Amino acid sequence: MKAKINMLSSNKYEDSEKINYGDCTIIDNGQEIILYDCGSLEHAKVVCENLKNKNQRKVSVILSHNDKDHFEGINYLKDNGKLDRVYTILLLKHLDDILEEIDDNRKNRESLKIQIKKYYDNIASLEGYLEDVMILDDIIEGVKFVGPKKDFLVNVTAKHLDSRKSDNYDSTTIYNATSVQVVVDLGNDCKVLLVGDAVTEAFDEKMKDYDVIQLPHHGNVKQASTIFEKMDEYDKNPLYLISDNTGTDNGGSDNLYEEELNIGRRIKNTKKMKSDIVLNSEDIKLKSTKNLGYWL
Amino acid sequence: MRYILFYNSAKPSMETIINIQKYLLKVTGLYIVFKMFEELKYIEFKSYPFTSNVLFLKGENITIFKYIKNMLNKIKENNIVLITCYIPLNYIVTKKNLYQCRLNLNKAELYDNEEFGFGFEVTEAELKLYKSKQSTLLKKVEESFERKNKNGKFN
Repeated sequence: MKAKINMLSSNKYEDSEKINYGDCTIIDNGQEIILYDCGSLEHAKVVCENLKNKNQRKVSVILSHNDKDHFEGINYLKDNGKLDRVYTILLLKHLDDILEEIDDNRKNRESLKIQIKKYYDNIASLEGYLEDVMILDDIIEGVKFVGPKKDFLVNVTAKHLDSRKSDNYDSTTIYNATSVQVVVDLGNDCKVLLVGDAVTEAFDEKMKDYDVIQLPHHGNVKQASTIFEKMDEYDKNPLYLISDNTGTDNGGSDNLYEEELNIGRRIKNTKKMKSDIVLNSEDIKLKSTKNLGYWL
Repeated sequence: MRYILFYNSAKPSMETIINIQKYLLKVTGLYIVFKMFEELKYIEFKSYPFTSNVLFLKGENITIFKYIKNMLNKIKENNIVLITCYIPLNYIVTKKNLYQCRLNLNKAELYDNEEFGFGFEVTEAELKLYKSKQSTLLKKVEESFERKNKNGKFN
């Protein structure tokens, strides 16, 4: 069976135009399914249906970051005995590096540990299920961790935990900036880059290598325009995916269309399409619809 | 700049025409007016102010071949951009620069009008033209299309 991804849309859920149902992408490598985020109970229920159809008892989740709209549905899976493992960044494993980066004598290992558990409370609540995503070669077959790099993670997180410095990085939260990035291999040389809400700086070196790129932070216009500019420089026309189930919670991808930045780009957006985005390697290839004339 | 769109079957909808107009406005940075030649089955988009340096011809190759053959003496533009399948023009057009969109086995392929959000079907070269950051229209054309040399081959 072919590998595919299914980026869930909230269009069938109640009041989807107002409520933020968050992100959830079901990755099927042909043998098993794994999730990239699970932002709401409603998404989790759809996942449970998929598990039933697939004859799979439990599912693992790659959690991009600590925010509710990426995390919330995991509790439902856990409470219903459907959660296997949660692959994410385990900051406590980088405690010494972060402490060294902060370089503030008022903090010690113990106080920093408490602070991390407090700041990253959703992840901390999953104790017993957690796996360090950064040390794995393949999370499952065809799904690979690719970022953020450790130096970037330590540097930016230290800024967050250092009370003398700003909690933001490049106009977004540190949680967003350091989102887990994975690559899904759909076969036929077709690779999808999923980046959660990461800042472009965290993955811009590798963008050109992919046929499909998820636009971070639900199609946020600032990050999207930076990505478009870079890809134009590389003379690449990838397919962009937007998981925008934000309701009225934030602008999501709306500004992208208002500023007409979508023109000249191949974009699939859960909000615009009002449906899930289901893709295998065949769906991604750019196909011409007709020719201009005859073949002389 | 003139951009002539030939249609052999149904006339493009007004929505499509407006979308092409918007596209050309972005590419040229000039106002674009259009005129329909219904009997001849083409629509001419013209920049305002008019500059007679580039003529785009888009449509089926046989129609464009006939147009060039009949109208060559009246074409003032020095640069003709062909958005069509292969046409053997090397012995007909000798005093003008010819540019051609990239062909796949002699075929100019169009992408669905929804695919890139233009609202009309484009070739890869037109997509490139839209994104080109060159300072003049001719430089944009040179970057996005392939130039034919005097032997009719591409440079």
